Amino acid sequence: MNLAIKAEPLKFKFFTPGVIVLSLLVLNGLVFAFFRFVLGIGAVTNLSQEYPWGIWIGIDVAAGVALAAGGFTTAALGHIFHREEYHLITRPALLTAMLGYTFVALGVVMDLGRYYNIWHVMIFWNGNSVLFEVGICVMAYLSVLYIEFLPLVTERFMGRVNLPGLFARFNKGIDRFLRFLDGGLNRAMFFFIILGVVLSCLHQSSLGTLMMIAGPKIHPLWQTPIAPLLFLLSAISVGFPMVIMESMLASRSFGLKPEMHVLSKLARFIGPLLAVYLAFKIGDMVIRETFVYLTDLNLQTTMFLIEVVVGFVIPLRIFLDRKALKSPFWIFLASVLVVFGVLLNRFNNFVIAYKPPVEAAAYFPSIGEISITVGFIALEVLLYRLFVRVFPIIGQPDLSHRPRTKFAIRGTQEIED
Amino acid sequence: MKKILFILIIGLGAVYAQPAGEKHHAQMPLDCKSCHVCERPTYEKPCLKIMPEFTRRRGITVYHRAEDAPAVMKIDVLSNLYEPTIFTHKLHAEMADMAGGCVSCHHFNPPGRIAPCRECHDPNATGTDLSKPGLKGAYHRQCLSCHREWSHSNECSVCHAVKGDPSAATAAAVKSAKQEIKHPKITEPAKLVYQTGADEGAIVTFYHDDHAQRYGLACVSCHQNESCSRCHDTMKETAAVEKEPHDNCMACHAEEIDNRCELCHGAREKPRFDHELTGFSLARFHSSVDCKECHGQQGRRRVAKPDASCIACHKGWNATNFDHRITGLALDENHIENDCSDCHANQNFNAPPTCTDCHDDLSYPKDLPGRKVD
Amino acid sequence: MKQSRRDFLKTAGILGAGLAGLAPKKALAAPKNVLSDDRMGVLVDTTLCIGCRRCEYACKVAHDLPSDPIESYNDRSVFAQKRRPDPSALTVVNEFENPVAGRASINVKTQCRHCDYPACVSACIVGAFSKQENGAVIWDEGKCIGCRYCMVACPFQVPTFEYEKALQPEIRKCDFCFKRTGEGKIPACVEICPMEVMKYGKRHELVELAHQRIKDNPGRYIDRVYGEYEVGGTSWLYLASKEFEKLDFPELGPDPAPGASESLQHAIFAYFVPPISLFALLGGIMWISKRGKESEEE
Repeated sequence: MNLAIKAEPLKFKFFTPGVIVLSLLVLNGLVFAFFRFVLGIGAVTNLSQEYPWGIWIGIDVAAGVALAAGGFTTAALGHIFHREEYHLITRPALLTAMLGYTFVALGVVMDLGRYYNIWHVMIFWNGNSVLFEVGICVMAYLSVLYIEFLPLVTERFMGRVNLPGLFARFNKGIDRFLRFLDGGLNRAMFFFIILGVVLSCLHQSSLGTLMMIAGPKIHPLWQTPIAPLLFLLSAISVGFPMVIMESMLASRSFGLKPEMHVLSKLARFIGPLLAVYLAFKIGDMVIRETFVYLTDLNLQTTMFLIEVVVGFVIPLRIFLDRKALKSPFWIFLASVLVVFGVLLNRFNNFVIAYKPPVEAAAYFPSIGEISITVGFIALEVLLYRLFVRVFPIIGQPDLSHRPRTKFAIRGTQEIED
Repeated sequence: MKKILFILIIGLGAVYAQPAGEKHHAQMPLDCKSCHVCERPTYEKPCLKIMPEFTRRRGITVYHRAEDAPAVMKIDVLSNLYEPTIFTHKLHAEMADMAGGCVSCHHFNPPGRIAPCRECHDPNATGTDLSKPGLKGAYHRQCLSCHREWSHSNECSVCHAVKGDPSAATAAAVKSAKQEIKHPKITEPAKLVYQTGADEGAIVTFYHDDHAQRYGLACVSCHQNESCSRCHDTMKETAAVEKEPHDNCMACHAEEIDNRCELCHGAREKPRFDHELTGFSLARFHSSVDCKECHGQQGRRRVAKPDASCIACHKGWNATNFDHRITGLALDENHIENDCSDCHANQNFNAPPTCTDCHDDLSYPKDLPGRKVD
Repeated sequence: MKQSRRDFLKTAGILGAGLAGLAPKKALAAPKNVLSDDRMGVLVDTTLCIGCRRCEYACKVAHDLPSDPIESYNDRSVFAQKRRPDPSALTVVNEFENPVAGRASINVKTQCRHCDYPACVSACIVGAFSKQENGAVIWDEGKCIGCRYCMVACPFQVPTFEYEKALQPEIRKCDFCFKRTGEGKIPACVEICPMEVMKYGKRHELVELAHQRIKDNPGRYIDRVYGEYEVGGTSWLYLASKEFEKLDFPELGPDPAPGASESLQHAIFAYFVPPISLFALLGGIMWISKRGKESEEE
């Protein structure tokens, strides 16, 4: 039943009209980023003494972390639960996660007033700080993601190191190093995969604890003691939809057939995951009786309703439909809705729900903030496009290659590549 | 250790051995609890209250009238920085009655003489003395609490002229020269017409002059907690708004009003009070009588309905010494010897006299027991 | 119980040796957060404040911030808007309507309250905030990374950030004149206040004084000392003649602001047991599912 698939670097034309548009967006973002670093945060953002956090935290960081959850959910499914049929999607998911977290880190750097002091987090520890835990976990997980990605680099370049001119003399050394790395990684990879999942569970949930200390500044619809659980559950729920959305977008963009046989199977998990999340979300609302706030119609309650209904209830309905699971359109739509729902949830939690006790002016992101956020997303897409050209990420049917479990706990069985 | 203990015992002994002389306050007629918080205060731990209540109001031991107060006071604690501040003391004292009295400034005075502020309020104190404000705080609180209400400003220069400022010096000289500086006479309104929000009878008329002059009420009997800004507000922001308008009238008139709103509230202005309406005309004999001659001074502000019979006031009157001519009727010989009750049944002089006891065919006022006089 | 935990840690340690090694260091890492019995405080009697804003001036001078000449502070038109502390003014006075008609408006000075259980100290990612013995909550420039989580966390909306600076922007807030008090002086605002609106003393004595004032002057104050219990108590205490909520004081419960998040955080990281257990559990699943698959294939 296993379809033998081997991932290879894709060959396609890099520059398309879409890429040019994205490049312009990146350029625009870079201009504002330049001003941010030269003139300060105040020059390009609408952040104020009342609203210290805006979309850079709400979208770039919080939503970025949530939407990169595909990395750890597929790793858990493919490697820990050892469902080999999903190996096809683990590499794209890993790439998204790696890029996602890299941009989370960049987003943080944008937002930090003293970004050059970011290393302080590793020196001056504050065990009471939720942000500290998130920070350390994200840093650690980012390193883990790079380590997890290394085998793709070694796979791509082992035996193919061919530096030009002067550097040619290093070719042999580098190749030997890559081989050594590959061997070591093979043995240790199980540790990093589990570590990645553990770290993800920790900081995905802790992101939910983050706003708890803001107390009554956060609207009661979001300020809940089970916020960490909700964050973790929604992160787990959004992992697969993100992978589906991305895979289908990539297939379309690169002219491949969507991997429906894998994606439909993957989509089956989403319904129950969403149901569990919604059960906790609604249950929490009922127990704390926060539904009373829904009667007053304002920005916050409207956003809450959009988040829950459009982002979770509607896609849940679709994912629970057996027929819809077989339809590329429906699972794509539902996945997009879940991605939207989680993105909105994070945005709501960090931006919309936050109301300072004394408010002179409401917060609306500035052109600069939006430009940089959009620029980051555009750059991420471009890098994804570049990476799939360079590294073996997207699988293509290749019957000659027998799939093998690459990573396993040592002692069960030695596996040679 | 022994040595320390010895010194301690001697020291403590010295404290306790102090003869409880006549000055010892424990023998004064004071309740210990009004100053001490704990059960057994000691010299080491006196557990004193911070400004106990009695020191604020009842701690006053020296009284005199505003007229006897010094006219002007020169405050020159900060003479190194500013020209001295001239405080028109008498002027303030005169008006103080309506805003809490002398105690609102002289809130505590030990027996003997009037103590200057700085005796208690340390000129060098900062915000660390929890028991009382320093001199700076004490002065500013007294002055600014009222003055900013009507000036709407905290300008330092109002009181503190920079040292060497010639104009300030002359102003101060002028101010202090007027030894008898007094508050100008307050022009009181004759009547006040209030537009109330009441649905029926929106208009309430209050005859201020009647109350102040005719009824002889002192200002302070109504105006007890006035703020200066009521008259002095430079921006006229603090208009005379009665917070509990009924309280002012009801304090005296509760009995006769007795939920009859129409007594005060009307569709248009009410006429002045006429004693005729009570059924007891003051016109001839009582117009110049002080109200309290009849109404007494029960409870200072209460108007009681007095016994309207003549002998309720004119206790000495009887048939022999009463000159009936003052009623406008000179009795003829036949009647002058009569006893009062022969005509005035039951000594009721308000009711018309009865003639039928003696005369079958005569009746008052058709027939008179004498002739009319003026 | 103890024995089994040690056993477990030993087993888990093999898998998570790297992580476990960090555990003891973390326990010592929390920033200074003391609650001395003799900690100082300030009692602000808002019924005395006349809005002269001399405290704003003194604060700027004491903190080397640029200030207009003192005469300019007489301008009361600034009260048209409600102002908040910002990097250039660590304390500001606002004006509110007096409920008693004809009485002067109410002025309220606002600045850091120096909580007994400060949210900023708990929140700061690098522990740049600390609660000192004398009650002051101060910020350490040398540690700050400018994340502004303190601003998110503060229930009183106090810390401010220098958005206009590209390099070395500071978090600015009232530091209870930490430098001055260290030299034996009293806070600059308390010292300059002409009305002695503020009293500087030991917090527990100030609480007593506040209640005494309420008792001695019924009618002058509402019966509440703001800061006595709010968010676990603050060093700065307030008396007022009008409900505090109408004077822009946030309505806060008696629970310390960092309480919920800290206990949750410590539960998740209790001796690193939960993360390591999760690691062990996932390792076990990986091992079992892998073996199952192998045997299936054989």
